Amino acid sequence: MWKIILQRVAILVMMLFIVSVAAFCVPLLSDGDPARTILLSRVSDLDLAPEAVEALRRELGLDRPLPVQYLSWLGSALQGDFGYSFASRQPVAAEITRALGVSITLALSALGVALLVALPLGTAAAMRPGGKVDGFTTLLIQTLVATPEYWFAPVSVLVFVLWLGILPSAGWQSWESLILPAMALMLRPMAYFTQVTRAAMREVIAAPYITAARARGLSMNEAVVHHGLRNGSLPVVTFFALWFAGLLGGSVVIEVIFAVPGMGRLLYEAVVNNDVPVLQGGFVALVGLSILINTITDVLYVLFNPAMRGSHGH
Amino acid sequence: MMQRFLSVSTAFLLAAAPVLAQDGQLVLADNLALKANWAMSGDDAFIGAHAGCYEGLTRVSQDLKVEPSLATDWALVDPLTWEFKIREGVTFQDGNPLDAKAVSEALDHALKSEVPIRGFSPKQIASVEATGPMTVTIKTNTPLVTLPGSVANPGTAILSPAAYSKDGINPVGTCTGPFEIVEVDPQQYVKVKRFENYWGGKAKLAGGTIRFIPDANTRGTMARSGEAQISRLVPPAAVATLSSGGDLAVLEVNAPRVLELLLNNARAPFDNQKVRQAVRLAIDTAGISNAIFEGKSPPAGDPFRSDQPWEAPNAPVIERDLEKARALLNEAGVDPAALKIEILAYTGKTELRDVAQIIQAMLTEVGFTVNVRVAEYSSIEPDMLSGNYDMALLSRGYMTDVPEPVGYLTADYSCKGSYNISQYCNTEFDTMLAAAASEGDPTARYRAYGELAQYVYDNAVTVFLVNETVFDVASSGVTGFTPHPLNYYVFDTDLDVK
Repeated sequence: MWKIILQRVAILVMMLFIVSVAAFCVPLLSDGDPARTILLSRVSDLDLAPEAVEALRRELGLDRPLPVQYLSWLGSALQGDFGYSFASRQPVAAEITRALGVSITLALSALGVALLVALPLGTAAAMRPGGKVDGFTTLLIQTLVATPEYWFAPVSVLVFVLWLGILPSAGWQSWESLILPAMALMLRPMAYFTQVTRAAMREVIAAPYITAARARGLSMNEAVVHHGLRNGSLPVVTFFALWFAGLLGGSVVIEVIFAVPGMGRLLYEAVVNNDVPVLQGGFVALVGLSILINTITDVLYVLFNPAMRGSHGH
Repeated sequence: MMQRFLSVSTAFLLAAAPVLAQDGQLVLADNLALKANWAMSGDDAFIGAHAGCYEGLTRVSQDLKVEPSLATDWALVDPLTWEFKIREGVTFQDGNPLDAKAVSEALDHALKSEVPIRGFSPKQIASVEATGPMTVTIKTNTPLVTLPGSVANPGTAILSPAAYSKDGINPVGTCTGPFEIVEVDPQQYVKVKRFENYWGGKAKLAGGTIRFIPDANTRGTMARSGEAQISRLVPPAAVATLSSGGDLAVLEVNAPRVLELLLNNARAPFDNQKVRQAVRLAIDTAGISNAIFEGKSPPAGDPFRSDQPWEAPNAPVIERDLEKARALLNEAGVDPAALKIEILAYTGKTELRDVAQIIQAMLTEVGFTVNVRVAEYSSIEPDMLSGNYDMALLSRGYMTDVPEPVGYLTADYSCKGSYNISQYCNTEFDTMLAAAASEGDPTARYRAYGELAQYVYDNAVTVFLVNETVFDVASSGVTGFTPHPLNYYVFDTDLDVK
């Protein structure tokens, strides 16, 4: 297990370096003048006073050579200081921490509910292949996979906000405002989790240890619950981790539609506004978290699956 | 970090019910959001003004007249010196009295702003000084007849000395307006409550919330669901739905903004006036108004609306006439079939793509081969500013720093204009502009702006397509709200909700 962790830390350091350079280069891909783009994001005007652009360029240090800008950032970042946002002038670390808190809450809520539905549904479908539950599950999976979030979100607003009037349409001010964005985000992971659970449980049900358990007099349900679920849920753990890492920065559309101040919206606005410090800090945080989540998943895998413990020299 | 995350999550989960209308409270769904820690040089200052917190020395009325606010009177002492009399008996929300010293300190901060404030920057202003207990003298570098309008701009709001620190500006409890900012969440909202000692009399509303909602459709939904009593800038396509129920009033705002097709006047073939006139004749602006803007944004002849005092005296909307267009091209010796023209449009304004395609089809009818390129504004701007383009679509506001179009005419059409995308340069125009900009009598000055607009029209420098109309929505219980043409004020003393 320690070997896994050490390997992951090495990967983490390498990835963070690559990501920091890549994030630094993003604004260079645009033909625009970074100082003008940043100023355009602050005012509704297109006609910018040249002296204002120059003042901002000096203020943000954008008049220095690029390698100097990068090294200056790297030096501070290594000491835990990610600098200040070009746009909001707030410390980047505080902005990212706040946005991550929102995105983690949203992602865990969406994936948690998806898991709660998917595990029993996938298991039930696997236990009677071709049965009614299996047919319903297949139909549900296909429907959910084909349902785009940007379509479901306005429809859910129409039903729950405008027709029923029981939920708020936007914002992040109470637990009610979590429901609609979480619903929109949970659809596709729910479909995938159900599909994966169904496939995994079908293998488990056919495994010799289930036959052995049944031979000892256990019913199919008891055999599956006591001996099958743990093994059957392993692939779901991997999927959960992948979706979790993906949703942290990848729910831009939902965060914009529902005015959720999460990581997706923060990074999207940073890209549009050439807010390099936020981009750098944000990418570094997301990649770091992604590797951390995968490491934890690997460790969980080992804990869930005793067969793997030996292979890592436990 | 984990501790902070837990505190954010806990606070979120324990929070009360969603923000819904309470008695005497109003929710405004705003398209703006706090972006730069209350920097006075950008949109953040407009949020302070929307909140009814910020006030300047003057204010701009609904019919664009400059009126007294924190200054009761002003006069041009000599061509470079303005004197403002400060209103007696005003206190800041933190209890400090308003006097000439506080005003000069606030305006000094404005002048020292890291990013200069439009219309009030060191380039224009030489000094600000308290020359009496209630008298402030502002010296300018060149004659600046529009200064009283400049000090109505939210960026020149007067805040208490306590508002300014090395960390920036803090408007909480430091304004003079009818409402006091009491809570700020930069990502989500600003909450205000009535300032009981307001010099202009108590506001009717007890308070309210400005919520920052970036998506226009969501702002429309919030009006329909009753979560917001006023929603700013809802999509034109949603107007019919929003006005059908009877509970909401859709308010048309004649924005000081024109959608224009800029032509590169310095490059063939548009360096030839006849070709520019031919393009103008080939474009059906009324058709564009109907097809894209549902007829709500009227077709334009000149950049200015017909109800404004600086309208060009004789600039009717051009009727489409393909025969005349072809004849003009013939006279100019230009074979459109031999030319490949490109129209630039930017993604920030979604309808521009459709407008570009319509114009492409219209110009094809007179023989041009037209290509449309749509990209992020920041990536096409360098080509536009350097003159490396043929045609470009632009939605342009023409009253950005003062409540007059002088900044627009200067930046866009003078030889040294900072935003002269048309690459237009004419010494006669510049002489007329200099005379207009220094004319002390507002009526004569406005007339002079109209003549400048006429000049641009007569020379077919630009094809003006539509004068833009935008839409706000208010619930039927809201009284005392009329959208301000310059987007300055919302929470005002008369605003109320039942």
